[in-house]
Amino acid sequence: MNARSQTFEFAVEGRQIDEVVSCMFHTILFHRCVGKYHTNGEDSYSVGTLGYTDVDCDYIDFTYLQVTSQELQRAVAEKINQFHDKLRSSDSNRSGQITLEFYQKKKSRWMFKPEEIPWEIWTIKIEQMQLSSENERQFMREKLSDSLTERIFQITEIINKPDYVPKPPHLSELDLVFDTSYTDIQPYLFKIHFSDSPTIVNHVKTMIKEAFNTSL
Amino acid sequence: MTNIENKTNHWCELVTSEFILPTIKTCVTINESLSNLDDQTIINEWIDRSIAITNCSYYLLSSMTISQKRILTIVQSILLLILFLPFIFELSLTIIQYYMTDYQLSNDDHEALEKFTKFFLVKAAQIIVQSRLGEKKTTKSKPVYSGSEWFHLSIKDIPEVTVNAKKCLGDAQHLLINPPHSPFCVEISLRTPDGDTITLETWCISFDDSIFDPAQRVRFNVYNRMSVVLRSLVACTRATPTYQLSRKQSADKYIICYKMYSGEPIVSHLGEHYSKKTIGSIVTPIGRFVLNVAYRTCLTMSSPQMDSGTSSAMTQFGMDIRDDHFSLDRNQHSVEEDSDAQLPSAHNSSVPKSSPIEVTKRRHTSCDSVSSSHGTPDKFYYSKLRAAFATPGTTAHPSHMSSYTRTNDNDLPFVLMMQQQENTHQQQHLMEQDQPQEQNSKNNFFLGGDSENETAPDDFILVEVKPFFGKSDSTDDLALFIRSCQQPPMLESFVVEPSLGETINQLNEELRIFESKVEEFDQLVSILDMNYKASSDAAE
Repeated sequence: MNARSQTFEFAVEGRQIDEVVSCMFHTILFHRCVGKYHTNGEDSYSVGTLGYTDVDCDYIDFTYLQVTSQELQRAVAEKINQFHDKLRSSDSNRSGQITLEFYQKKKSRWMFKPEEIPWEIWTIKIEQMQLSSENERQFMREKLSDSLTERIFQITEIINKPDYVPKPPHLSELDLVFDTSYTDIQPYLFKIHFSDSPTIVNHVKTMIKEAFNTSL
Repeated sequence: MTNIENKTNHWCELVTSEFILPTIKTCVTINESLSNLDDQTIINEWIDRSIAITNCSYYLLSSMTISQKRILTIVQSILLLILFLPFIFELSLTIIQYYMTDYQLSNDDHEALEKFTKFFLVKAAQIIVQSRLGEKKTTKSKPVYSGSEWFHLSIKDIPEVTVNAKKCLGDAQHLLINPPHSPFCVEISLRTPDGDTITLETWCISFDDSIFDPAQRVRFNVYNRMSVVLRSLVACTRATPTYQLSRKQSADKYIICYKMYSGEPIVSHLGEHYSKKTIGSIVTPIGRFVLNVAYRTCLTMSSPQMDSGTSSAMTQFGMDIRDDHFSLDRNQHSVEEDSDAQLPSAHNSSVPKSSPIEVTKRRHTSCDSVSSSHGTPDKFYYSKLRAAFATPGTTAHPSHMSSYTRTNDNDLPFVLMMQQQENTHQQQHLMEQDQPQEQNSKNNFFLGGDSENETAPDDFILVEVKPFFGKSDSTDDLALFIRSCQQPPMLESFVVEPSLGETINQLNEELRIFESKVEEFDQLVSILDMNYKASSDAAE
């Protein structure tokens, strides 16, 4: 299945990594989330309401939006922190990438594991910069806020295109499309994974994995 | 043409593209030329000519009877019809659709769409205005639908904005989805204390009835799409440079105002290189909504005190103005209103005036600024200056004073002091003292006296006129006396400052004296004790 994928690249300072990635991911998740489904009887259900929170960034002049849900924030922050640590701890790798993938589960046949088919992939490539002077830092900071503005508009443009989004399924099959583990919201099934600077070996690994997945 | 004889018929071979297309051409030409002949001849001629023109089997001619030729003709025309049937079908459908757009939606659906549109526009206006209030927003996610939230989004409504939006949208005749489809616009502008206004953004929701999709279900698809577009709107309102500007607004620097109108968006006052972005679009069975924003990118103003920013030009204006003047003005509006966020707006039907967006906390900030102003002597003297130069009996004072009258006294004691000041001046025409008078007023200020003190105090002292910055002749006996009475006496220790050694010696001396007089002190204490006991016995 063809997943549409989108890549954004940023050149940031070490301490801005967290905020840039959070900003992008939360904006995307805010759009790819629905209210909690609440079943009233047989076939009818009501949909809950989503709230949003403004978050000010400390190291960038920017404010982004996220869904008001502690659990979601925690889950995403955990992954981003891991990525952050990995990137900053390794001295050799100045760059890395982190991916937010929305997938759909296909009903498992017999004893096979349910297949996970991605339908949308958002990748953020981060390159760490070393800045020498304060002027440069200020200049890059402003440039970063401008570029984040552009990206937000790009995200909304992509999301508002009439592309494939999994249709809301029968109530019994909600788990195949939505992540029902959260108590107050219901995002589409997603997972976050990251990798360090892609070496040849990693490339080959991912290629083989993808080939294996698609061939099944 | 007639040379071939007795060959078998091969009907199927006739039906080729080579045969059919030229046949059509022939039909057209023949019909024009053979109008006078009878049907039989026409058909025969027609068939003969078609066969001649096309590259089909020439053996047909001699072996065919008339009936066979007729059948051939009929088959031909049927095949042509079948070939072009889909095309004709599509054409008719498009024509029907074009003329019958309004009737595609059932009444029920149309009503639902109107309702959704109205709420969509009001919610969009709420989102835009709330994002420019200058404070961070947090709303709760509710797992269970309570029945009052639209589009599955938790957006609190500011009543004034809803009222204004509904007024702007008017009745159903002017709703976006009905012709003339005039777009709904919200304009955000910045207003400085001097009264300068610059337009920062124009958000516009328009409706285009040329693009539509009958397959979209109103109650499901369109509703969900509206929800997603509103979410995009919330995200985008935080992304434009105006958001950062609005977070830094305050009463003494600048405020952000909004304006709503129906009509084409006015982008001419957004400056030269304004940026236009589309946020999202919703396709409905009768048309398409498009939500876009045009925002200013170059924010330079012709003010000498301003420092211009970078290419994206996010600037801050640090203008020095009198704290009390502007904030009092602001507070006059906000005092009467009870709503959570202060949004006074004057509004007429066609082009409403800009309305400032305020927050309750502004009251406190203005209080702070005013209370701080009483500490600084500059502001004080400024008001004194005006008073000093006023000729008696002028109306300048009262009118100025009236602008400072307030219903709520507790906030601005400075005003009371000002009032009292003006009163006393008015009462005694030429009675002005510079320093003593100031002392007097300062004391009154700290007392925080009653507001309706219209009459001057009775013990007012008649003194000669002394201009404020005139002869600082403080050798006048009376002036000196008054001054010394007004102020508390200086403590001796501030006048005579002994050195450390001297102080210690003094202390030692004092201690020795006290030690020598211990007996006397003991006696005193016992007398006091006896007196107390006596008085308590007497009371019983």
